[in-house]
Amino acid sequence: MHLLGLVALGAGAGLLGALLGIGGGLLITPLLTLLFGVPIEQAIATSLVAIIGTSSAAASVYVEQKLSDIRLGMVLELATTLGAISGALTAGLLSRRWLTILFSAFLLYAGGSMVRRAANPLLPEEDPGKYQVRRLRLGMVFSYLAGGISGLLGVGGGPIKVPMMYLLMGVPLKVATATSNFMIGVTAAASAFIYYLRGNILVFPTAPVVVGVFLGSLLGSRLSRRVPTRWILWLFVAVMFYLAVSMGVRAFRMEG
Amino acid sequence: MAHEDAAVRWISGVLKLGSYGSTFLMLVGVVLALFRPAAEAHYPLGELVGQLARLDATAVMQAGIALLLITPVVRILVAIVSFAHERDYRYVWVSVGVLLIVMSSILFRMVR
Repeated sequence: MHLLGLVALGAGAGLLGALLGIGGGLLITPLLTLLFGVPIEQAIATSLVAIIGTSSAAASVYVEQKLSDIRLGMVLELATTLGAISGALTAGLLSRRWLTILFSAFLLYAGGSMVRRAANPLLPEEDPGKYQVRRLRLGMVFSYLAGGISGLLGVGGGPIKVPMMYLLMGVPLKVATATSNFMIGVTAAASAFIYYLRGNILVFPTAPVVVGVFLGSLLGSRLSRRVPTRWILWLFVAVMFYLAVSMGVRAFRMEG
Repeated sequence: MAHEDAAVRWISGVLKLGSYGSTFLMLVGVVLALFRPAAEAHYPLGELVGQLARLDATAVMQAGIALLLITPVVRILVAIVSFAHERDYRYVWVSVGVLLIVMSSILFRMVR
């Protein structure tokens, strides 16, 4: 495989993800399957390893800044990790065609919700003070679902967990984002171990892609203040819709 | 409060060391692979250390991946210790629960 191409793929995904504050996980899998012909289960596994790296690096900063609610995160992780294992086991039962179809559908959904988010941007608030966590049980249900999607498709699940914590559970937005990032590593690890035991984590493409994503997201977080978010958001949405259609076509041509 | 600051520093430290360290290992492996392609694409765990000593590209990358995968596990262990230190036993149990769930697939494999 083309080593540098894989690094570049990772860097692109990481950069775009960091500029937008959405994980790179969403782009890695379709790019790997469409451009490099990587089997989707390996691409998903690669994506999981990559997001352990980026979320851990980001979370280390959030934890230092005392923004992550570690206790809330650990409680919700009871649910996300169970979900992640469910998702990973389910992925093992599905054919490549169905995984591709599901991923394509998820890209469409995620693209659509990003468009909605662009239309109604959440306003950042001042420094979060004390807050009371509400609706924990409902939060556990959503966390399980977020974990399930993470284990099934190799994504972070932030777009589910952050609104859940912020809108449903009474957590300030900055804390919700920080806590979500904090949770992704453990959640991804839970499913990654299953992919590892199934032999889906191979040095190629995983290592070069993870290196690329890491470097790309480091660069992206440096640049994120200087680049206008709006047109990147639309670029991202366009890319996602294009990838969704491409994956759909690819699934159509597959067997199973 | 001092306890919490220590926990914050430890957890943050583990996350940084794990993510940066493992990615650095993978980077080294990628560079090695560019100049000295490895013989195999994968080594079973038993052979890994031997191949690492020879600076085999695949082994170095495998080690990096393994390190990244265990980083969240170590983070949970640190949390357990720090919650125990603060005598916050409810969260000790929560964290132990998370640890067991995360490791369940590995533990299950070992039992079989």
